[in-house]
Amino acid sequence: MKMKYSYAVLAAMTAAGMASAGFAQVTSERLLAASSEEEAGNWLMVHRNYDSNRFSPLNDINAENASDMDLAFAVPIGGLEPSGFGAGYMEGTPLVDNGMMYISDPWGTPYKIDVSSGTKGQILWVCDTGLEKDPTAGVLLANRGLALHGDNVVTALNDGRVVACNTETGEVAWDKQLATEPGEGFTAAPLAVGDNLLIGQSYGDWATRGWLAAVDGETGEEVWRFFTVPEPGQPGSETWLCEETGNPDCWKTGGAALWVTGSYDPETNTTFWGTGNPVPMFDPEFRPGDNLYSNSTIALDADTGELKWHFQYTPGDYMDYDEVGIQLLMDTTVDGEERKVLSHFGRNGIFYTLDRNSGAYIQSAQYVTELNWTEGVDPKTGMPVEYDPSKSLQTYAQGVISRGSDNVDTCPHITGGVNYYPTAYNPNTGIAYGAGQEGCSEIGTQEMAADDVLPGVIFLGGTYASSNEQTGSITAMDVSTSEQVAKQNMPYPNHSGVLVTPEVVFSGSLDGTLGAYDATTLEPLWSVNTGTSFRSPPMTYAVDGKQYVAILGGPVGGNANGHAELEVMQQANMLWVFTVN
Amino acid sequence: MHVTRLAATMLLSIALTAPLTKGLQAEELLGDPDRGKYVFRSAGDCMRCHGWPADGRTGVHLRAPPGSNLRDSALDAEALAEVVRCGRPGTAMPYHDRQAYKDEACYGMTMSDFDEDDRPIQGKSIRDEDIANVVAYLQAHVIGRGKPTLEECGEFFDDPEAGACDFLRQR
Repeated sequence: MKMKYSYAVLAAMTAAGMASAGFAQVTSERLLAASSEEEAGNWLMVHRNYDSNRFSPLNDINAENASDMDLAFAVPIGGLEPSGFGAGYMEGTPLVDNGMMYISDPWGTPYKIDVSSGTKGQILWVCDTGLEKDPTAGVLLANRGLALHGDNVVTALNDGRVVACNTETGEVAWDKQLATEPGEGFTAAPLAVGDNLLIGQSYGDWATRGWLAAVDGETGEEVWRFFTVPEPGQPGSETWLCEETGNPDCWKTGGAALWVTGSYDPETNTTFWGTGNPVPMFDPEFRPGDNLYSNSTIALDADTGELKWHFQYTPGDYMDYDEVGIQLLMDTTVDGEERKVLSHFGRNGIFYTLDRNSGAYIQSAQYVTELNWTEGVDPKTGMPVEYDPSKSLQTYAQGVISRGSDNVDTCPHITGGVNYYPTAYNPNTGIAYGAGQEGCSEIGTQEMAADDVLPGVIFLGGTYASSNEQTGSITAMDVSTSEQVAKQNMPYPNHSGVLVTPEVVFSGSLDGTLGAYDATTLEPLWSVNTGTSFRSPPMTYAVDGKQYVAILGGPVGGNANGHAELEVMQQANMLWVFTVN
Repeated sequence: MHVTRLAATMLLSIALTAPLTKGLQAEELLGDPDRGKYVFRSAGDCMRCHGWPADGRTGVHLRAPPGSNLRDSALDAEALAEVVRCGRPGTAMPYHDRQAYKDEACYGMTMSDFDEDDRPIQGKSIRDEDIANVVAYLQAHVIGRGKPTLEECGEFFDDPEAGACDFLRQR
């Protein structure tokens, strides 16, 4: 299954690496300065900067002229081969370094595209990762981007390998089987921090245990690993009451996976990641307790992987309100006080702001239109008001689903709210933007015997259905006050997320529409329909002083959410690039 | 898709009591299990919700509503064919006969008998003979079987090395 490389090939790679010594390396110094003026035209890491703000200072395309945007060029991309789940999703963010673009397809295959002409995207190489594209494998194909590190561009693959491709030649520089347990694999872009790459295990719902690992960026050797589900005896293990179930190993299949790249604060050398749902998602009786560190923000020392703090948004969850999405870092003023904060659009429909040095709750506000799962958030603790720490099974406002109970209608939908779809923050205005789904779902539990749970096979412990029409929205929140300052409703769920520039918010739609919106009012400024579904976020870059907006389009897959006109869309993977001439 | 418990219960009871007014008769159900496996695997999109072993679990898509466990099914050939043909209104099981609900051949109901939110879902169209083939496949290789085995998995995919079988190798 793994591609083997001969010594001759390795020697050739080394020579190629040396030949590229004059090539502008992506050093840790450059990454630390990713939001500086020198890098204004570039997009060097998946969320553009360590603060995950996805804010670009480029303003050549602005509120005045966005209506003049036009196609610059388009490039067909490969990777349409299906897994057992069908064709995969284009969910990545292109990286751009001085006119060279790096993207990945649903199988995580890296491409280098020369976009320096501004009129054509010329593919220079497609890195052969040696991935076996097994059409039977029950694996969710979704790759959310790449990392630039030194001379390499690095991809984390669904088969559990991490592969570094030389940016100059596209040859494999190193290849490491990091995940070794059944069902484990990766979806998120690695995060390059110093000498290391941080990589999160994603496939929690396949009855696996989540973890974040640091590997040496030059060799792939593992440096540290933090498990998001503690083993018995470790702090947090008291929140997995597996003995109560007669299945003392329930923590081993507990999920809390990492699907989206985290953030990093160089000042405190802390990395922040959002964690996934406890597994099985719909049957808390299989895993009684709060289930730390599922549905949480975790803050880890970037050198050691030691846990500094955690904040769990929905303890003992049974609604799939995982919190894998973006962790926005910003400095702001709250109640007249300068605060270093972390803000997060919860999949549970609530926008949270925490002290990023302590994890202490500061404030929150509902951002989805319909929310019924809780009566509100305790203003002191940030916990849902129904939360009772003495209980092993939580009951939220709509009642608990349990084995043999009636189903429950819960809003937002199990998909969210804001899910993995990237959010953004404009540091000049203090406004954060989240795009997501609006709607509700009906959920129910189905009991599964512990003996039948096998790592590598999806383990949901129940079922769900959408219970009303699913639509979408972009919401603007003032981080300082947690007030909603603008909202734009949309006919389809938004699985694209947002990019923000000084005056414009960009976002895609499942029906293939890319739109530009006024950053103050969220009123539409411009849109075009490309016919490829957008489950990936727009990004922006500049070449020779000219600004472009790029986005990856692909199949809608199983995400039509009952919209017949989305169901019939056909499959094509494309890179689209727009500009104002 | 609006699936209410009430609607599901009501329609399921109709499904189990309504006489067969049309559809495949027993003598027409002598399908080809090998062709049926192919239909189950590809043409009908059955695997997305039922999984390759049709246990409603193994290999089911993360975002698909898990289908029923056909390995435990008590339905006979005619009833199986009717469910494939007509679906199960009020649940996520779609109908696969493009003529379904145009007359009263499915549970004695037409599309206008349903509220807008509770209408049966249209699945991929499967021809009558392939419905018989799928039923033959289910009867020959699925119904009454216990837990999925590695050998069965390899046979299903015509590939003993199929990635879908990895979890069984590791057991």
